[in-house]
Amino acid sequence: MTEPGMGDRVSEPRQSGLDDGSGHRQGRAEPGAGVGFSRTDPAVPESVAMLRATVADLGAKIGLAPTTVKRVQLAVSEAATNVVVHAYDDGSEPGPIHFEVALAAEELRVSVADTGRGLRPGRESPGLGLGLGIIARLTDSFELLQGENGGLCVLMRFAIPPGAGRS
Amino acid sequence: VHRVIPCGELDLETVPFLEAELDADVDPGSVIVIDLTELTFMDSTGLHLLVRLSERFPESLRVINGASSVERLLDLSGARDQLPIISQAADPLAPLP
Repeated sequence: MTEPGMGDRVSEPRQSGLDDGSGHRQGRAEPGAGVGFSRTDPAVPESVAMLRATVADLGAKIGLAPTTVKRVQLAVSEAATNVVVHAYDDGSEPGPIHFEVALAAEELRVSVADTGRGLRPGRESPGLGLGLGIIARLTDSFELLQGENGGLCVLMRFAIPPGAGRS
Repeated sequence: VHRVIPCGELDLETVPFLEAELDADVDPGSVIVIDLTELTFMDSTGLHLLVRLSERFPESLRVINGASSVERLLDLSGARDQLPIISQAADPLAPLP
């Protein structure tokens, strides 16, 4: 598993969508909004562990408490698993998982989005309910939003105590 | 007693390996012990596998937990009561409490 130069992207003012040559697009999530990070990976099972590792790297970089890192890792794992299992289940090629983190005042905002078919009635979802329930308990709040092209975006907010999360 | 000790992370990518291992290698008459103490991570995908296994082997499955990541998930999901959990020191052949 290679994650070239990932940590370097955390605080550098880069343009969004830079290609680092590894096939992952990485860049700043929200210019001017504090620390931001984004990456895009294919919606395949291996990407779920890769995103957890990314959360660990980011947490170390911005000085998040280990318990917060574990919460975010599990929530991201659940959201990314939903994307891999459900978003592109119409037999097409796996689409993207867009992962984005923004550290604002006293709050970490993490989004996991796809460009798939979105939430829909009859969506075959043996695990979805459990995964979302776990996300609900791990986050301070979360929203299900309509993402690009009708896909689903899970926006998760984690409260960061004042003074923590800044190195 | 058939004891399986998965190590590392149990998620969407690795659950199929554990499931295949159990499909291939379990004597229907034996007690199956899945020892989760070596796991560093588990999410709802792993939990689903355990629930499926407990339905498939309602009498003979035992689960040993203890890893902090697994404990947290069991509490968050409310699935603790659905699984035949025993302590590491317990006799897997003893009836469930």
